[in-house]
Amino acid sequence: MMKRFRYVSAAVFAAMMAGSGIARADANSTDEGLRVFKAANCVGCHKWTGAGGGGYGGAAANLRKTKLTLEQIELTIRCGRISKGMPHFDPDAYTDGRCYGMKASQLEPGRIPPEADHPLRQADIDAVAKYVVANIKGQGEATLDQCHSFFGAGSRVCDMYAKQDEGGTQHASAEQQETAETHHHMKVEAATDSNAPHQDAEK
Amino acid sequence: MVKNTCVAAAVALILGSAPAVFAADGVTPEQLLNADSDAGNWLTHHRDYAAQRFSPLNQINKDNVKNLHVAWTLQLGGIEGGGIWSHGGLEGTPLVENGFMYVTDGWGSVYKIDTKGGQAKVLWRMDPKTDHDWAGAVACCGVDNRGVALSGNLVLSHSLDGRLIATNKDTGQIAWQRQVADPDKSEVITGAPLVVKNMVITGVAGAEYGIRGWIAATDLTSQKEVWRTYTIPAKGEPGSETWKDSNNAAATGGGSTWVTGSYDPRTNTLFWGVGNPGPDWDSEYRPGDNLYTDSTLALDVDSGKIKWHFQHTPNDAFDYDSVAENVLADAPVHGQPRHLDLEADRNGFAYAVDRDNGQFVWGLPFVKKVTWTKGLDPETGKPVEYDPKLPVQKYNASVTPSKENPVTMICPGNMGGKNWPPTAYNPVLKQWYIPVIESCNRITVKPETPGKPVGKREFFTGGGPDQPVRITGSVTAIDVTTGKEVGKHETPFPMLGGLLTTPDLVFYGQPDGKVAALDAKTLQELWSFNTGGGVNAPPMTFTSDGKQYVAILVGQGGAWDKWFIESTPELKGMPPGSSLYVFSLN
Repeated sequence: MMKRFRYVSAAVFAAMMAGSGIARADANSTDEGLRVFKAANCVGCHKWTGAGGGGYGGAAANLRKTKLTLEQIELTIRCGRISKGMPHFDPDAYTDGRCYGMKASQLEPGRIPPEADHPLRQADIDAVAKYVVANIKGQGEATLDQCHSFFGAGSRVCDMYAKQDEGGTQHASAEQQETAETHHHMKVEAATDSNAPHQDAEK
Repeated sequence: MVKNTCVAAAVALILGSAPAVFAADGVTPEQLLNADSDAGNWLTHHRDYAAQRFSPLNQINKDNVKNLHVAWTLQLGGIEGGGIWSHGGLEGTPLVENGFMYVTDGWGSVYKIDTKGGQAKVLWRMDPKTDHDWAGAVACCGVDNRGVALSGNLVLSHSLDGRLIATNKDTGQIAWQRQVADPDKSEVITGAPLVVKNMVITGVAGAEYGIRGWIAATDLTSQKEVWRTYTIPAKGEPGSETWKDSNNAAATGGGSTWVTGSYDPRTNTLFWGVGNPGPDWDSEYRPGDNLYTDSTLALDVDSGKIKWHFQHTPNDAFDYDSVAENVLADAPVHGQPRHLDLEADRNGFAYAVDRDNGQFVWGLPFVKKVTWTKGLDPETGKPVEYDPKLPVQKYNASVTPSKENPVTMICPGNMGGKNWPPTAYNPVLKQWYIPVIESCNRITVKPETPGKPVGKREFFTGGGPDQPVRITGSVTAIDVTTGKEVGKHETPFPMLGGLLTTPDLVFYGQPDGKVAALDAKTLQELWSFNTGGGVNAPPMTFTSDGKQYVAILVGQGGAWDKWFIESTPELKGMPPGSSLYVFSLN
């Protein structure tokens, strides 16, 4: 619950800054970046962990292992990646050469990065780039704490990390135990295998 | 002769008791057995146990359908995203009982709508409070829910996060629920439940994430599971010899079951389609035929025991699921009366098998272009290149994805010649209508490593598709008495919603918003209307106060706008939506 209050106060702080004429990006809040990371559906390809990975829609970059700088990440979000699946979140990216010195007319149709479903304002692009550098880049394997920071405690999405921790060196915190109890987790109670050979033997 | 016995039974029921008794007591097993002849209602997912999606209603017919117009619309919810999905969509078939309609939205909320008086009144909404992040992260292909089932005083539905939920039909309160699938194992549920006798039957999705698929039956009285049939046999079970590797590939072998099945009371048999093997595009990972993936299964409905199977694409390297409805039709084939099971497969071929024994009757390509095989063996129905002695099938080796051929165009594309959207069978004309995705797409193989643990809640596909060429669609008609194509109505976009047929019409929707009616004989277009939202759901028809309506859910969901949109560039930027359109004459 502590974390949630912190988000609220950060949001209030950001609103106050905006009201006093200070640009939102100057709040330097990675909480704002987290909001953008979710709202712009970065999760759709990079997953909440940023690890991306292969699969149905092709491989998305592993942001946990990225070597890009903050400026390069900002550029990639704004402009997308030529000939790749990463969309451009600046809607005007290829109108005037601001991205890689290229205009749409200079690119073959298949090479222009896809348009983002949710274009972002520059302040949002800056905030999410900062979030990636502060919270994802250089992080190792995803942890239960990181999962709870991302999702809060209301979803079972973090359970797989909790279960892994049980067998490892970490111990479930009081907060985790409380979460598990409040979820009232239902379990699958499956019938036995209809086609198991021993059922034939019983006949 | 399913039809005739049902008609006789329905007449007996009508003579024997007043319909009001049903209304008070709820939907009975007898009503479900006779759903085909219950003209004004649509009581089960595919309208009847034979999954024909044929309605005898003919107030709307080819002479007056041009006058069809919007009677009312209703905005629904469930549009929000979750997990890897930016939005939900609508793939459901509404059910109607005595003027009350039951629909679901993408996240599984159930709405009860009173349609009487020519307008919509929402009586209740049951929100299952689906765990968006838990389930949406492992839903391979969208935030979808295909509808409900009715039994007694209960409305039965699934949630994406793996629950079977029974809701009180009068109050909208959850009566009971149980966990059937486990999203921790990447199992989710998108299909509509099927009620047979006192059981409700559930299928599962997740073959892109290394699940071992199953079909499960829950007893409606005890609320306990009474059988579970795995679509990938355990070691020692028949079929396990078709997994020839030494790395236990069967444990993550796929075989989803997310399209609702059909049921033949004459033989007490449940028919259910099974999806692709995993990893989808790395067939060398899993040498052998990989039963029962890409198969139709016939099960004893009381025990779940497998009676027979018919596999369409052994050792699939294409993602050619047989997750499809199996349509049960009684018709003469070349003069011989047959009990047929009809299935339009993602591999581009339509099949008729004898549903009493699984023997192949006829097969034909229903798409314009097939490149992965030269055709079907006329005796066995297997692809002609199929060699049971080969551990890894090559089919047309210049097309089939493999380590040697890692970037390859396949036709049909991996969405299939037909995906989940249901076919419709007209028993008057003995014509079967298929909603076709006329497609090719490009597969890039990225082999998985045998013996390496499969990532938990991670894609396990062995590669992926992309879309370098345009994809279109068609409604293709097949004469089941000959197994020949008798018509093709081409459409600019793929068929992502499915079909309805009435005595002389076929209805469909398109992802650009168009809903249309065709002449069932000529496939000539007689009427259309643009709903302004992507249609991704099948049309249905019913009566309310004695008047016929056609209903269809509107709101693009599924995987199309995330992974296939490049093949339909005009649909880029089409916003998601969530609404119900209902049409009538005057």
